[in-house]
Amino acid sequence: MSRSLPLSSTVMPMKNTLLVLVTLLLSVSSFGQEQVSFGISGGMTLSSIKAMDFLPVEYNYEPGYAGELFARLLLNPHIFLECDLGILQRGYRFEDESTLSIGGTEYENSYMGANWKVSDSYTNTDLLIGYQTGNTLSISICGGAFLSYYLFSNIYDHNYAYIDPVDHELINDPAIPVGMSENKSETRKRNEYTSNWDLGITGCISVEYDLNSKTSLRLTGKYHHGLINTYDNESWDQAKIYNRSFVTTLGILLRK
Amino acid sequence: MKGIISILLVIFIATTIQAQTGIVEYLPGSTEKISQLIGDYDRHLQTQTLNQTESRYGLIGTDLGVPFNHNGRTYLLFGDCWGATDGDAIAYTTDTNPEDGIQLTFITDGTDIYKPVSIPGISQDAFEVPMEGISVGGKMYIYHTTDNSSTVAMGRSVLAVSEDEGETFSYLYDVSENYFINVSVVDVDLAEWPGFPQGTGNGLVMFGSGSYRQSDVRLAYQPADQIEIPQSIRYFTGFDQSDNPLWSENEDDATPLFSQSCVGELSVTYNAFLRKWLMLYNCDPPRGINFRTADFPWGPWSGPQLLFDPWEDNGYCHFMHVNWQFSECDSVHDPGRHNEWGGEYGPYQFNELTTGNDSITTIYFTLSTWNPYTVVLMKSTLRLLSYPTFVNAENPARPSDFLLEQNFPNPFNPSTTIKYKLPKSNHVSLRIYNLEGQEIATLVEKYQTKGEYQIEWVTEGLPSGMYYCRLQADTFSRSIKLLLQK
Repeated sequence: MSRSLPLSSTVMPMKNTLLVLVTLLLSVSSFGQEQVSFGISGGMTLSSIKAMDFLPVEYNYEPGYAGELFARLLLNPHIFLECDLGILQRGYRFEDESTLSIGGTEYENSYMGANWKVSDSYTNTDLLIGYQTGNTLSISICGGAFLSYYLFSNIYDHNYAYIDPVDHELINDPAIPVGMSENKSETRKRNEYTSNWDLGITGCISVEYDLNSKTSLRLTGKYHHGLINTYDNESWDQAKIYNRSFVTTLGILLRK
Repeated sequence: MKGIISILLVIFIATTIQAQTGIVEYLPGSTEKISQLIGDYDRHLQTQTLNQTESRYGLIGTDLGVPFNHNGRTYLLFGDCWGATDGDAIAYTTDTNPEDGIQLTFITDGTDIYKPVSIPGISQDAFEVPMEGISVGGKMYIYHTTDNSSTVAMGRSVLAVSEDEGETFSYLYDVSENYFINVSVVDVDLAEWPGFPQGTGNGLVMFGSGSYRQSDVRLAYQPADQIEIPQSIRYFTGFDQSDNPLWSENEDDATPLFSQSCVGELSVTYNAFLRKWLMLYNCDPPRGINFRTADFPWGPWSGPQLLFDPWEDNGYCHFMHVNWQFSECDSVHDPGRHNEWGGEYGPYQFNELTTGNDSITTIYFTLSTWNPYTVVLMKSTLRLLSYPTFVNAENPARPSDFLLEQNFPNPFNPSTTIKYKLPKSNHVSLRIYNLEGQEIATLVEKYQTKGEYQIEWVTEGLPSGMYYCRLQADTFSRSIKLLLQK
């Protein structure tokens, strides 16, 4: 089902991306050391997709992980620039169940359906500008853009056909198999029809608490609003998929 | 006054003819051999044949067995006989119970030997055979292939007539050297079938194939009372902007009814039970006897389905010989041919023997087999899947809205049928996707005229799971859910 790519073809773009992002981080850190702080944070994502003219199902949110390094440059006591670099998961899930309808007959107690979950792992960078209140307990808001590069996917698939025993007596057409429940979990790339890149806007809000003069605890909430259609299939060019993600992380901010 | 009543009557009939919608599907496992019609001994069933043709008529083997009605009898045309003499042969029957076989009486030459069909001036050697008969005005007409050569199989078809019940024939004219070499002809009451160039009386609807077993099927029409006038034939060339069929005097203009370039011999009838036109033909691929259905002679014709798969439907290892170098699973071969494969061809429908109701029908047809070289009587059952609804005959194949129906069966393994309707001609895309939106199969990607279509999706090597079938035509798009269960 999925196309297997040579390792080098997937690693090289990722290496290039990391190189660019690390350069950005170092650029920020080249400012006066008293103006720069660094940090690390980890947490979870809750994401889904905005699908247009795609499969006739309702997409729901799927949890994932997030981890990032960040660097912040204070332009003045309240305005800052920030570059976040990390890995996160964006995904979605849906459940599609219906009663069996065979040859015009509805079987009210028999069902077929699928539970489907996918989590796509991305490297991600946010370039942000923000405002912070600047006390021991500081609140900051920020906005900017994100750029992500697709890595791989974790997929869970459960298909089933539940046939009520009474219906089973009625469904005796040998062409109709009855009874099925299959679970499948796998990790693979699906970039045959998923764009490698995702770009969008970021909104964020953080609460920082200074543990001491050099260390702060930071709780951050971000929202990623994808602007790029990540469904890449020429045979279905009307279909569009946009990522929508909430990211919540808890981290430590270090100042010199 | 009488004229007005006649006109109103014609309009009434034309507008109340009911075409039955729904998908016609082969009932799996229903095809079976009933009896062997030719020869003395059925090596498959290990029994004496009903007709004892070798003992009674000197006929050891032959093929075809094309049935047609004429003056109260059903006549059968056989080709390339093997026996006391060569050539083709004609038999007749009044037997109406096919379940115990068909009792045949062969036309003889006054002795106990079958009488070869002879059309003066026409070569009737191997592959030069009668492939259709029709009765018009009390005369018997046969369509006969000729001009077979090592480079062109069946290079020409001719029409011949007999006014003495098949005893003698005389050549009338060449029918075709192009698209109508093998033909199947249906006599219709034109009042029931608006769309032909002529409005009243009876018409001959001619389905034809050209290059032997490498041809698509085309359609022609001829007024029945002008059967002896070759210039009266009109060829179906497509549709006008209102989707009315167009006709041409030029055979070169004839357009294929569908694309499946494997057709040679073919047999078309109008099945009065399912109210569908039913076409049978031999093909490879898919190997075996295929069938298609349509509401109108010009279609749209359904996708092909297999009616008889020689491996699946008890052909090979039963009444069709398997090369003993492959398997010694049968002993039905002709003498000395144990290391040759058997084969099947030439299905010809006995329309008068058809039984059924408005949702299911059993058809009977002759099937030719090679090794053993004989003709067997077969039967199959077809069923209409969706609940029958009725539409006005003025616009029976013209649904008002796009529609993608739920597939059947569902869940399925390994194949399922998908039906859709087009209210107007369009470029149509019918594709299968998995849950990720990955394209799995393209079932249709072409321009199609308005009407109803069905297509079978055969899954090969796909895992169990949910799939979506998406129809895209014009601004319409819809998806249905399909569950493959292995």
